[in-house]
Amino acid sequence: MTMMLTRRHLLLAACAPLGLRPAWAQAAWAAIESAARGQTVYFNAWGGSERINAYIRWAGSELRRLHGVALEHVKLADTAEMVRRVRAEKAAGRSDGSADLVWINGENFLAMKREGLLFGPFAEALPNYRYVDIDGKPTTRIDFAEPVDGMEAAWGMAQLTFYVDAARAPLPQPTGVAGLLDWCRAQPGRFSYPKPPQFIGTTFLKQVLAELGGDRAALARPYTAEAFARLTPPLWTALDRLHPHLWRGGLQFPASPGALRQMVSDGELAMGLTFNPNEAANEIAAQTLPPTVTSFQPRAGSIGNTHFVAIPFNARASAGAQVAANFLQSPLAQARKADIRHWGDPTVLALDKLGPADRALFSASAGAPGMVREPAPVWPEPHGSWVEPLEAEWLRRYG
Amino acid sequence: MAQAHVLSAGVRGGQALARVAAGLLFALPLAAAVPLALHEAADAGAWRALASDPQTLPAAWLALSSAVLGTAIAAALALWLTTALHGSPAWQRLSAALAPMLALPHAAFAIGLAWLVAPTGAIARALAALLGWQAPPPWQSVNDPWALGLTAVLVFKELPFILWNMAALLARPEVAADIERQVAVARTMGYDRRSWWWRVGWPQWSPRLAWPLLAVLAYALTVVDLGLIIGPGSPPTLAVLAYADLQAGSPARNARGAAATVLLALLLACTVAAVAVAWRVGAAAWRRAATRGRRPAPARHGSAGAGWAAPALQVVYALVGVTLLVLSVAGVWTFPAAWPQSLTLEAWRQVHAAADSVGFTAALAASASLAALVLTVAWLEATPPRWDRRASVLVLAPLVLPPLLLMAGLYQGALYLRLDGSWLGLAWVHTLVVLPYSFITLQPAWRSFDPRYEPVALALGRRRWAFWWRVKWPLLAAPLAASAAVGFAVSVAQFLATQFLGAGRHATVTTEAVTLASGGQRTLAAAFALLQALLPLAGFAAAAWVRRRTMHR
Repeated sequence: MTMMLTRRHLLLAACAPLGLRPAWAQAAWAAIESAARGQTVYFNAWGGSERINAYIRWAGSELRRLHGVALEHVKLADTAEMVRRVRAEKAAGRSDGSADLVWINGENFLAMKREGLLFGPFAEALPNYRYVDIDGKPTTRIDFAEPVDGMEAAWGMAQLTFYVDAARAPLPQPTGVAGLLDWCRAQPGRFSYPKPPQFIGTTFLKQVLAELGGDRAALARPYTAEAFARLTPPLWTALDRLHPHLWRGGLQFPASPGALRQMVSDGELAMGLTFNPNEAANEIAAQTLPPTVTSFQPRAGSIGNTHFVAIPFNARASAGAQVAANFLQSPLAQARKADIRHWGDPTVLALDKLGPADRALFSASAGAPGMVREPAPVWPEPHGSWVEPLEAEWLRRYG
Repeated sequence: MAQAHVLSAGVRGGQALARVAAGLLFALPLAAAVPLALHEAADAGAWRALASDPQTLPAAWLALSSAVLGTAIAAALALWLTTALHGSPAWQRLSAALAPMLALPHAAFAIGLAWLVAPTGAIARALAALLGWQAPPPWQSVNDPWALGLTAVLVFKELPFILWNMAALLARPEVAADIERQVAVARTMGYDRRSWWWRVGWPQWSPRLAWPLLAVLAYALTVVDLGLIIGPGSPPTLAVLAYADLQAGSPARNARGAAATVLLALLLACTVAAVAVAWRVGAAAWRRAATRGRRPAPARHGSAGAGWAAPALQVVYALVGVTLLVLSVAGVWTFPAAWPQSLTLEAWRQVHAAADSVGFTAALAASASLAALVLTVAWLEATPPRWDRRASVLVLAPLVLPPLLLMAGLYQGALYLRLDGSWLGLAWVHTLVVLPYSFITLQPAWRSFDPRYEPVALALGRRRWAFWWRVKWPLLAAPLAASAAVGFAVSVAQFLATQFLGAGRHATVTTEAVTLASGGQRTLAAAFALLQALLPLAGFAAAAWVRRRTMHR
């Protein structure tokens, strides 16, 4: 079965760029759709945002209407809960698992893929895969330097983005790391970043490294001590100069991006950072950030990645999960997700691959307060093996 | 004679049954789950990583100092307040006020207190209005590097818990009467009430608080959410470090987190051993000092201070409560504005949406606390007191182990038994988590019950069940109700137990609150605190009512 699927997906991968869908692929999908009808899909997804929860409720109602699939949102506080649950199910030899579809990326994906906890490959056989921007957004096929291999379906895009309260810190906004130092000198104590190994904090280190290290190609290759010694000195020099001008003199750091955002909202900080380019706009709409906040990305580019949905190896409703994953990738669902009024999560689709009617769906979202005005290029994540040496060295120096 | 034989055989059978039930339902699953949970720590690389992390030592010190200091101060305050106020109307008022204090979730209290003292909080804004500050002051009043804020929250939250246990212990009719008799005798010998407590009362009663204090210490050492909200950041406490490692996707970090967990358990064991040694040494000195025969002059100031301290505690809780109410509707509220720039009912709309789960949460908590109470009573009736210490490792394991590890282990067991996702499995695992708290809160009263009542009742021709039903349990009604209320509150507060065993299919007020709070929104956390406090408040209020009734009978 696995073998067959692999061959099929290779063939599909070959055909997809040509916009061809062989008749047997259509028949196979029709079989999946009919198997999915009447199934209940337990979608294990982080539940910390009411806007995202509401979006998932909408997707559920559409799935029921269009495909007869019931989508149940299992709200997680952290994706690690689900990984451990599925791992325990595998250890207990259970083939009828508790999760059908999961929201995932990065380390959690790597762990599940390596441990054989995932179903698939399925992602490149989804009918809507042909719209995914695999050329313009290479992170839809490489998740933190780990090849996706069709084991998860791209759902949305993330990119390191700064937000600043213009009422507290007059313009101009920094355009890069050098500008950041000047900004912090002028506004001492009004910026900080979450403490690595918190994810956003580590991404900030990667951003400074990618901007100053000079050799982004070397970062894409696995870590070596030699490359680390060659590329990281500018990072530490920059942090040595930056830290005295940070919140609490760079001796203490906030625990989480949530705490950081609260401090910007309360006025203790004037600038924060996030992985969702539309977070500030979202939070302004939700009245948790003042309307004077604006977002910007480092001019040269900033670290970005993709988040996905995957299917555990023991999903009871794997057909329903595939139908759901395909729906989440559809122009209709992606356009609503990109719309700042609903969620504001950038699409994984290539708009030029869509027909005019579908493309028109995406024009609704423009110009909400707090949005990024000049989007910068996306830089892919450094190879995953860089994370631990970076974090360990940061902790040794500043922890 | 023959009848007595039959009776004692029946009792022995009952005892055996109770031991088997406690073993099968509690000890065996835990004994199976603990190794499953901790197997990741059996990795030399994890321990090397822990040893080479420069944060480990300071983080362990912060965890230990905040936990020991918080527990010690709370215990000292509880002794002082009881000494000064017990037997007076002020004591009645204080014990009646404990229910809402206990019902307020720890994290919510920390959020409220943090906001009062933060650089952008109430005090700073009041000063800003007076002094014309435009930017918040550079105070380190929240997330301070010395964990003083964390220690303060622990003192404020654990003091009511210790007082609650004390009140349940001392509210038993036969104990209250006994105390008054002894105090009267002491008076005739020239010792005032306070002297009686320090010379006679506490030497009897303070060892009874060992279990509740142990639970407080274990909680304080391993608490994560308080550490994140108000604890130090660089480095954080060891429990926070372990938690972050366990949440990470990389197996190496998971293993380091499991090792840090074992280290925390070792720290707890060392602290308990040190306290036990200090107690031995200190108790002898105490006895010498207490029996020297000196009669100190009756103190007025101590009592007056306590009369002032008890209302002060209530005022702090009231301020935190009001703060949470305001924060729950506050939109943007930038420094130095005295009132929020925008108000929003969004958080309350979501509380309303989640309120459907109240009924299910209450049913689950009621079944779990009742089952745990039955098991605890069965254990206490069926085993000699010295067995309690043998059970201590298993009783403490659910308190000390991170829920993420323990629940993964228990879930694996439930999968074999096909209990996952079922109501029965969910109720069982809640019982398992609640049971240590039932035990800790009931054991002191049960073990200090005067054993002479039983032979007297039997000699009067009463059957054993009649003695239990008509004499023992009515006398222990207050501790039973207090223990049930604590168990009920513990069940309501469970997050990962509900998520794992319920396979994410059963929503409670806490699963709704915790998942939404993971987004880090203060309005939501503040509003949901009220929903989470609602059910435990009902439980504690009911227990307080039982306590008052038994007192006045």
